Amino acid sequence: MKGSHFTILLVVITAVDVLVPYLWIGDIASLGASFLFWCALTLAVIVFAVAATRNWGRPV
Amino acid sequence: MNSFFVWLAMVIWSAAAVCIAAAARRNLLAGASEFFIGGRRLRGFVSGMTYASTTYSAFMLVGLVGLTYKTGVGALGFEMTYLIFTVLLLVTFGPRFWLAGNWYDHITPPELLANRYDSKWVGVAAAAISFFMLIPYASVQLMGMGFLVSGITEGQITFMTGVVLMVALSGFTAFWAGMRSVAWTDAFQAVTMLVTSLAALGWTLYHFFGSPAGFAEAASGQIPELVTFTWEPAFFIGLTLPWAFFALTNPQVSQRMYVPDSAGSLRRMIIYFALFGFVYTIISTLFGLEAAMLIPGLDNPDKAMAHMLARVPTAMGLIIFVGIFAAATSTLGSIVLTLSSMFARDIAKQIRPGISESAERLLGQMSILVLLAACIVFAWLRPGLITVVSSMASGGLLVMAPAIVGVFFWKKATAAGALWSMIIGGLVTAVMYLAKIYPLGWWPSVWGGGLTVMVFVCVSLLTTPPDNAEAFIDRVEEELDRHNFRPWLGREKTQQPGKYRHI
Repeated sequence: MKGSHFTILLVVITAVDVLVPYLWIGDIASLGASFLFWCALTLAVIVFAVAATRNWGRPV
Repeated sequence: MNSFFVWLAMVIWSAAAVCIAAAARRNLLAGASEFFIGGRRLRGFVSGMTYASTTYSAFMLVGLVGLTYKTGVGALGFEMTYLIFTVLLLVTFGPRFWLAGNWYDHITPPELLANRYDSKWVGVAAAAISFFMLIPYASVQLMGMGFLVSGITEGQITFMTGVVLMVALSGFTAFWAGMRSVAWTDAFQAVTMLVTSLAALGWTLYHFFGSPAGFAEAASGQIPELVTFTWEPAFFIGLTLPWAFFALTNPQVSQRMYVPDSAGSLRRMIIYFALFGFVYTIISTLFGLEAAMLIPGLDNPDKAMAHMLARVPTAMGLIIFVGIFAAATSTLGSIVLTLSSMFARDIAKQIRPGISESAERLLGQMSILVLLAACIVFAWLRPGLITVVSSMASGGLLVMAPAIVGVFFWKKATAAGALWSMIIGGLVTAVMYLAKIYPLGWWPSVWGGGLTVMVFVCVSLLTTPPDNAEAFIDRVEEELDRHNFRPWLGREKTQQPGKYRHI
């Protein structure tokens, strides 16, 4: 991943990771709120990583 | 819990670990890189599991459970944020570390810094900071195990017996066959950690709450304050920031970017680790929420898991105990092996550049014994300060992040910038942690990290980068394309079906 792409991605994901619980769902007393949100976001990043690395090591 | 069963569990599990280490030793070849990083011949699964079990220590089933017990789902947010950063950092930096390590035969992360900045002092400074921060951190693993063993047996097995047992096992695997046996036993330990904690979580969910759905319903009703996110922003950022860059700044994990045998294995390492971390984090936080409902009102949240062990049948308690023992042992073994490689390569070899690889390896093995002895002394003394020092470990190691990023992404980064940013940032962070200075309520890692970036940038702009800086970075970028490390960005189809070119 290029440095600039990495920086943009990191800033966007960090913003989502922090702002959504603080601004919208943090005060909902349910495991379906912040707990589920962080699980879903992390899983999305893992799926992204799987897709982003799918050709590593294969001949160009 | 009856001490006989605890002894039995530790002996059986340790015997299995020793057998795996013996099998790993059969493939051990000569040379320093063979001993310290497995000759860069580890496959994807073993690489991923050694990365996971090195990263996830006893903190998960003790500290994180306690943090969740006390502060709720914010603990999950903190740990998942760490995992998100780590996955993205591994996707970005993993190939770069791996390529540079292969070309220049790097064994330790400080060696990369010394090479790129063309200054042995940059490497020495990085190694010194790592020693200062990681020895107390490793000792805390020992202390945690000692307390756990003596706690669950009500003193029948003493604190120091637990400490010595753990040192013996982790020291044996590291000393005997280096990374190869550490990695194989780590893989065994990682599987143990995951299987035992999953089994225990499943049992407790069904036994105490009827089903996972029953647990979720009970959590909303009984502990609404813990399933809402109540962390102050300063606390969340202060705790998360140093851990977010853990993959780069902690040498015991960044060294593992050197070990896969191919680009495909590097990819599998990242994916296996990410999946492990995802599941293990959820398990640990669910244990914390379970404990909050089952045993409310504990004075010391860190004892929540120990109290949980007392409420489950002996067999289930032993399963959970073995998982924690595995987590602590694997982290300790990995830290000690990494520090020993840094002593041999980044300190001894800088003083006597002419030493042979076999002498380097022997020095590393001797330093394993010295490091473990130092950890035992720390654990035996049980100084109050050690907890403060260990908590500042990740904050202190954060000061290496700008210099490491600069290696690959900033051609104007200089040795002076890297050196002074680490020294000034490290000193300021350490003093703030020890003196408990939290200006405006923000943690020392935030101030120390900000100061480190400023010093790194300012000093680099005022000094001259090494001659090889541009060539180093250009070569990395070219090789990334050659190994197909980023074909998913900016590609377009060529005339030939199935062929792509980079744009």
